[in-house]
Amino acid sequence: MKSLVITSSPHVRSIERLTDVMYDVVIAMIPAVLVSIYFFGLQSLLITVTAVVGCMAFEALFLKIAGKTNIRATVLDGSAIVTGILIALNLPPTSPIWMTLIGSLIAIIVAKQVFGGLGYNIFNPALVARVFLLISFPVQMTRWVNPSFFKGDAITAATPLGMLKTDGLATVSKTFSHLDFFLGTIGGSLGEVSAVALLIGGLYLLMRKVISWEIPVSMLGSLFIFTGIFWMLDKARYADPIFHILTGGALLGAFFMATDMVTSPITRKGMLIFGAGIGVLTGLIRLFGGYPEGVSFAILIMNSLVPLIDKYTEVKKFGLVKVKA
Amino acid sequence: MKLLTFKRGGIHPPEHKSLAEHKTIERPELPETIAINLCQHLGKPAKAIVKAKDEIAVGQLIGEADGFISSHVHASVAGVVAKIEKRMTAIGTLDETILITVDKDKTREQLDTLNKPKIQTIDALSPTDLLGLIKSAGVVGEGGATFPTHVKLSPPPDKKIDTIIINSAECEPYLTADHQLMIEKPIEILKGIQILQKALGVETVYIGIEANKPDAIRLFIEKLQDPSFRGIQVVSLRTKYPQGGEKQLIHAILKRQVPSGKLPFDVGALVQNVGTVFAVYEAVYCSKPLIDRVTTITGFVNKPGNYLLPVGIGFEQVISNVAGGFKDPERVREVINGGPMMGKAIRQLDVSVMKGTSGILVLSETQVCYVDEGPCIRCGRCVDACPMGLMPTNIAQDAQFKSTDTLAASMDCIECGSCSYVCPTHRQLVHWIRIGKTVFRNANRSSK
Repeated sequence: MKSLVITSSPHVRSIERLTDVMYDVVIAMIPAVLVSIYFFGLQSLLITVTAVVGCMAFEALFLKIAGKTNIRATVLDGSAIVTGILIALNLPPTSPIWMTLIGSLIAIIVAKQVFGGLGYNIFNPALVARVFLLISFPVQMTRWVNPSFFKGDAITAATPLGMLKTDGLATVSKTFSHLDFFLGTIGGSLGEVSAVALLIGGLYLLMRKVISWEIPVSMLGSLFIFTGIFWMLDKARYADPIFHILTGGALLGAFFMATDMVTSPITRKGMLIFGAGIGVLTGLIRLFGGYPEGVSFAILIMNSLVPLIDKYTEVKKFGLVKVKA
Repeated sequence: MKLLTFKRGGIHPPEHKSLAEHKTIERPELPETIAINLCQHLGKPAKAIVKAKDEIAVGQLIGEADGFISSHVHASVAGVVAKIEKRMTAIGTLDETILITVDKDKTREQLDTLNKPKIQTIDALSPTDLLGLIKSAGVVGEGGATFPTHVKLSPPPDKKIDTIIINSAECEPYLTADHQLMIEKPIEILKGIQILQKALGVETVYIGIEANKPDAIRLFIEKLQDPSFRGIQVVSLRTKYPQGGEKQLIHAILKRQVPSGKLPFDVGALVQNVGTVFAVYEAVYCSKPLIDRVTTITGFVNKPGNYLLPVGIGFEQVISNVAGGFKDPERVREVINGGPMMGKAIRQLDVSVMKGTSGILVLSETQVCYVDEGPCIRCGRCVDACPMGLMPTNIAQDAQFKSTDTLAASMDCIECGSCSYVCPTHRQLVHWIRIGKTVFRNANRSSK
């Protein structure tokens, strides 16, 4: 007999691993990726592959330079793949390859590894990349095209939210119907267009218990209520709340980015506050801010508040009751 | 019947009970020698009162309780004391141990008389008499914590106990010893409960049994038709780990929360493991000290089952002669004293069975996983799993960085292991929390 091994209890573990969690997220994003390929063609596939390969390569490179040993395991743990796909879903279909690679570099090195790698990053890496690119390359980041599957070639077009900001609600209502938003026959980032694909992925994550309901529900709910109030006040000026949920990055953010475990609160109560904050901030930026879309900024702002939220929403300990005489 | 359970947290690990479930309790062949540790209980070790070459009988007192929280230790066999030396125990401590060369014939003969009931009723005995008998029999909690039972049964006079709970949850995976004991000795257990009722002057008793033991639930409901067992009720509990945790059990059955830092008697409850109740019965009716106990030997062995083991029998002997040996010695990785969630892995096989050995679990290379700890990804699964409402990952981090001012929460941890079990990056959360407790205690001691 070989010598016995001594470990600390418990001696059995759940079969669920980190990689299972990460690959579940990858699976959940497949519908959105497929829809983007269907709408925007092979360019979309190229962007996705570039972003994923870029993320994995930059992670391997960083770990090598930093002198880490378990490079292979870390690169293949699935988190870099998730970040890569998320970056792609956040880019316009016309994104050049070089810009996609810069996005991967920012996400993996600046937003993730510099903070200490998986688990220690404060901000969602994919969103840091998106906002970095949006500020650095505003032209390339806002060059939208209409889904070309029925027209044959791409025509430059505005996103519904962009149109709302520049041309007002009347133009938007003339151009699009709610069904367009739902199916995705609108301009937008790769992963923003089809609400139905995002909902399928989101439901999958909920079913697999990778994410819990608190963040998506409180985020979309507060966005609905916030934009709903203004819509009730002036229906000619403000778009209806359904519009706000179906367009832009609301659904992508609610299911895939705000729910990132590392950068969201750990307690259920904290998740509700976190989601509600994102919803309200998104609404504020969309209705009154300079940018047409605010989900990325809203999530990043709330990311920075997570330690504070966690501190004030600690779960109640068992046994904090008065002693009965 | 409505299933009761504790509210917060809990996990559902695979049970693996079928390996040893419903296997009749067997009494194994006597070994040539046994080694009885003098620290069989929580508290101060007993003092040896025999010396080498002394001839001893079964049930003879060989270690005397030393101090208030301590317990007597008796010989589980007849024979001659070979020597007294410090030895490694099955819980990893180094303690005085009495080695006895066994006289098999004499042991068998004396055990037969010892196992026979000497009295028919306890009517003639006062509560003080009962407590005295339990104390002199060296009964300790058989659930694993091994707290001396007579101390638990003597709460401070200002604490009024109104309810006794018999812990038959047996929520640890793999273990079936309590279950089988309930099936084979229901009347003895109920008589043991009557002893506790009389000793404490308490009428109300709940026997909490997890729903995965329906035959035991049925059997006890049937036996309780007898009007002489007054005040006793069976409650079915949902199968969920750690249902048998003392505080969880009290919450599930009585809806009372034991306050943080307090004990069950602060909410008027007293919990006893079903094995302990059987030992109480034997102590009073048979005048038999706690010298043997039912243990489940299971996992990667050829003959998993439930065995009545004399205290002091060696693990090696138990596994190779009693349980049919390892299935494949080359593939054995861990041998655990207790269950897989809270038991202790042993370093070598030459340790002995103790009063708290509820199970001996052998795990093969495929059943244990050694994965390096990953980073916390803040998924919150440990927070959801913790039955005490703690934030295990935060406490573990505080322990890692020795941040003593926030480690007070670690003292509420019952070390059930639910957090480590669910962690997808295999963080050793309970282990860090245990370290945190020590760090916290040391810091408080030095600041005083």
